[in-house]
Amino acid sequence: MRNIYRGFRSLRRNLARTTVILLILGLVACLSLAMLAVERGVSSRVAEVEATVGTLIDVRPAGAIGPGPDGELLPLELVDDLALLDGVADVVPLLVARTADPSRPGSGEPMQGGPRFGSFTLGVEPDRPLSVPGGGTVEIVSGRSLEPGDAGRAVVVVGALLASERGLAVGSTVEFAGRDFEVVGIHESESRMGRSAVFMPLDTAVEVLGLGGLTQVTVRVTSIGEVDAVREAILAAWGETVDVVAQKDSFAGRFEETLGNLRATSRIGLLLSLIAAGAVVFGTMFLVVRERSREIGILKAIGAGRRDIALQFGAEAVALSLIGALIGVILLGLIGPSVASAVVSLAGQSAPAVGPGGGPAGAGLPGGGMPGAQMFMARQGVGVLLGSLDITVTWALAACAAAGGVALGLIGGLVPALAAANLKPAEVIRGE
Amino acid sequence: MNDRVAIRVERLSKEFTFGGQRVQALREVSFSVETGTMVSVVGPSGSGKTTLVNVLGGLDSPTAGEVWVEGRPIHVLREADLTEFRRRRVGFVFQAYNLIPGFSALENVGLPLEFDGTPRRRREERARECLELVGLPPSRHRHTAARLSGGEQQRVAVARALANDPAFILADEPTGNLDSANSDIIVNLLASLAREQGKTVVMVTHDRSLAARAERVFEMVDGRIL
Repeated sequence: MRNIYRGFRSLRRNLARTTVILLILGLVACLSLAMLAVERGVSSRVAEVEATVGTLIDVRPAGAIGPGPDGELLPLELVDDLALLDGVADVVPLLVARTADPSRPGSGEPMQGGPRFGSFTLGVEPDRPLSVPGGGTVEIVSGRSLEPGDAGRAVVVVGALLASERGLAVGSTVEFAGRDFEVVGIHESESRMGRSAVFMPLDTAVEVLGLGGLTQVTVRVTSIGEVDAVREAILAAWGETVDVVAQKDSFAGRFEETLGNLRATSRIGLLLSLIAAGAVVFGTMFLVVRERSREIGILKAIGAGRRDIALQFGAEAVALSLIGALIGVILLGLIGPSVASAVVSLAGQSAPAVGPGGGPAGAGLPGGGMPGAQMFMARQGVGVLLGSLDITVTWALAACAAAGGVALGLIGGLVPALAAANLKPAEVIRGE
Repeated sequence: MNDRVAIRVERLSKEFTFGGQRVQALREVSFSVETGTMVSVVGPSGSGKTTLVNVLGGLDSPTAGEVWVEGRPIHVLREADLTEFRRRRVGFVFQAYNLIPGFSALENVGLPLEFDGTPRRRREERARECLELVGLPPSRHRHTAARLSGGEQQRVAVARALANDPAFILADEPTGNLDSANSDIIVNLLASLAREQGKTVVMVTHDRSLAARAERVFEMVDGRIL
């Protein structure tokens, strides 16, 4: 322990030099930790994207462009047929109808006291969580969501914006296509369109809207490796009447690729900064051993063994890199948000171009059945997705920095410490 | 072997390379020193005095010949055994004091005891004893080397050499950086260690008047004892 104490204490010998080296190490450590945080954040996002959209396949009527029923519909029996295919884990039917626009005759069913024109009515299976196309997550703020027992019933869950505009509350009655609907819940979501959306049981929607089919079916495959096989099977069976889009190949895949590149870049940055930190520790300790070689000879003359010398200089290297790592943690606390902002900006510049109604975003709108986060990402880009990237100092990150500092000190200081231990006392005292 | 013989050197030679040149530092040197005596080694620079002390203290290994200390063959000991030998049996005093910067006088004197695993309390106690023995006032015990005069630093160096109660004191030009008054103090101290505590002292010096205080004087020239 005394050897280790002497190693820590030796840092005070040349305070000016130690301070400069610690600042350099702190900056490098800060960069390493930032890269680590980015890598973790991006990996988490990639995992989310893979888990949520990587195994989804959208099936839509051939030639369908918009979200609403602007052409042929998918037959209701398709849901059961798709469920029988090998590798299919789940099949989610969806019927989307655009609410009437008074200025455009025949654009949809009017709703007395109901939704504004241009918003959407969604027929969904009542036993599934509600998902608002293009609007992020759905949160029930009043009443309840749809339930399995609602199948066939005239009940709706309406968006908060719509409820506010129309003065609707849980228990209110609205007329839709000549039929009264009970409002059983009010939901809130992230987008304006979502806040106006109306959910009703799928079979009720089919009956009320009188469309007799579905606008989209989303197939969830058991694993990402099965996606291509299932897509081929769907095309083989219904290829002439449907369009099939595997979401891993569409915009989600492209964003995943961008995130993957960012993750690879952060890993390379992490590796390079660790190498730089190791080089700083190694160089410093090598210099220290050269400077103090005579002292090492004296210590050996008065009874220090090789182990004593190796421990003292090894401890000095560990102390140096440990303190450097902790300075890095402090610096990260100060500049972490700026680093996050820079990373998001960089990612935003490298992300695929998106825009309302066109490109990937347009292709995925309401009929896409995408979870809210992915739609949000699609509309506003990777930069926005990473806007939630968290580069803040946590106890876990500080512990990681401390462990890394110790490891780096051991690795970077090993060779100089062993060199010190192996110095021949007579030679260094003689001044060779 | 005579029990009184502390050091026996037979046909000791040492060669090394220094500044790219091959140096024959010792040439078949032979002598013996009895326990509890003080000997001095004099000679011009480069005559091999320091090399002789280094080999006697196990800091350097001979190229040829034998070195026996207290009946132990130093010339064949392994590094670990040499470390043990230096730690327990030898105390070194160097010309340039060579105290550890930033450490107090007490800590410097306690260093050899640290390597020996002596507990802190006992270490401090022994360091105080040694510092009192060399005449450093207690008020100076906690001063770092940089705040002590040259004479005081060399006293601390002698105290450090005594910390482990060694049988041998090897002093290489201990007065080289001191004025005459302080030189007298240090040489008298070394002589008293031999006389009163029975330690065997080998002192290298270029000052013949100081060398004369020893019981025996070895004069070295070109690696040989005359």
